[in-house]
Amino acid sequence: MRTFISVLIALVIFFGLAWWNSSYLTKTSKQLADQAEKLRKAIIEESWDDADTTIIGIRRLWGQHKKIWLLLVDHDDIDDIDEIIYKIDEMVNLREKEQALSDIAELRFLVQDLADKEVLSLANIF
Amino acid sequence: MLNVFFRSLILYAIVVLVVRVMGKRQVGELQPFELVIAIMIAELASIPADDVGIPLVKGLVPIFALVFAQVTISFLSLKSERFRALVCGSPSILIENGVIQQKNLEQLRINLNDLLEQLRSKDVANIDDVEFAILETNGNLSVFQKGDKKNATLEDLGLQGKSEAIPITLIMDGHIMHKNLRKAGLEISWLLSKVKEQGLDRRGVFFAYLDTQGDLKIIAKQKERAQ
Repeated sequence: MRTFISVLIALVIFFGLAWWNSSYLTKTSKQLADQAEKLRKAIIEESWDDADTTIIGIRRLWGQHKKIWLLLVDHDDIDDIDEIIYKIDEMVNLREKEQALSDIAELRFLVQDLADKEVLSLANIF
Repeated sequence: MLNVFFRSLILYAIVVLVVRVMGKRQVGELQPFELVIAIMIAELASIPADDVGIPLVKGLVPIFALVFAQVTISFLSLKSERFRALVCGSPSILIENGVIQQKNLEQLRINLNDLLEQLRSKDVANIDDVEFAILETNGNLSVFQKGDKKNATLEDLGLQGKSEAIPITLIMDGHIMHKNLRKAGLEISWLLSKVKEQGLDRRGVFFAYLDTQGDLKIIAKQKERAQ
């Protein structure tokens, strides 16, 4: 009985952590996606100074969240996000509008897809 | 995280079901083809449990394919002696009339230490005492001792044994087994009165059963020890 209660407590803790994991990923991926959207608008309007500031903000935000994301998601996915942020940074520096926009779209897809994969749903289970 | 948790639970339930379908033998002594299937199923179930990128159905298809193969092979083995020999192999005699069959031992790549260990586990110390030692297809060693080394039976002693019934559980951890009670042709009131005679109530009974002689045995619950 004592073992069963211990397992039950561990299960409740696990569910709590799993819920936190899912909501944390959803929240932080939304922050990144919002920043990416801000960057997209700045690039479309060709206000490159704004774009420079926003990409620095994205890199800082990603640097903060990455430490925890490393504990929660596949490291290959983290590498993909790392790579795409570096590419966006470089394209903004080169003022390459088309390529930067394409990379931003990829970044938004990657972060949203990662968060969606962690949501508990029948589609994800099966 | 939660998806992996639920995928693992689903796969676990399915593998338990699969093992039940494969039959009781699968749980105990395995034939070569059963061992292969057991290993493969364990591996196949663990991959989709962990990798959420793989649809669960894709993980289940190979498991069901293996169950189909296992059930078919078991059925064919049951019907055809030749097929059984092909899939399971045939038993090999390792000791005959106290003489080790060295050629068979070599063919099966069994060393003398393994053979002696197996004999000792069957309470046989001397090879001379063995009439036959047969290595079965499931890897078990069957040992038949020589007539004068066998344990005496009641028949050898000219005695007659009593026939025994199957023990029937009537109360388990305070719960009455109504089905068993009906099978034994007993009334619940009779059982409760017997329990009361012991100074207990139903919830205070840990285990109550009819033994092989048909006598009721009651074991009371022990009070939990204080820490």
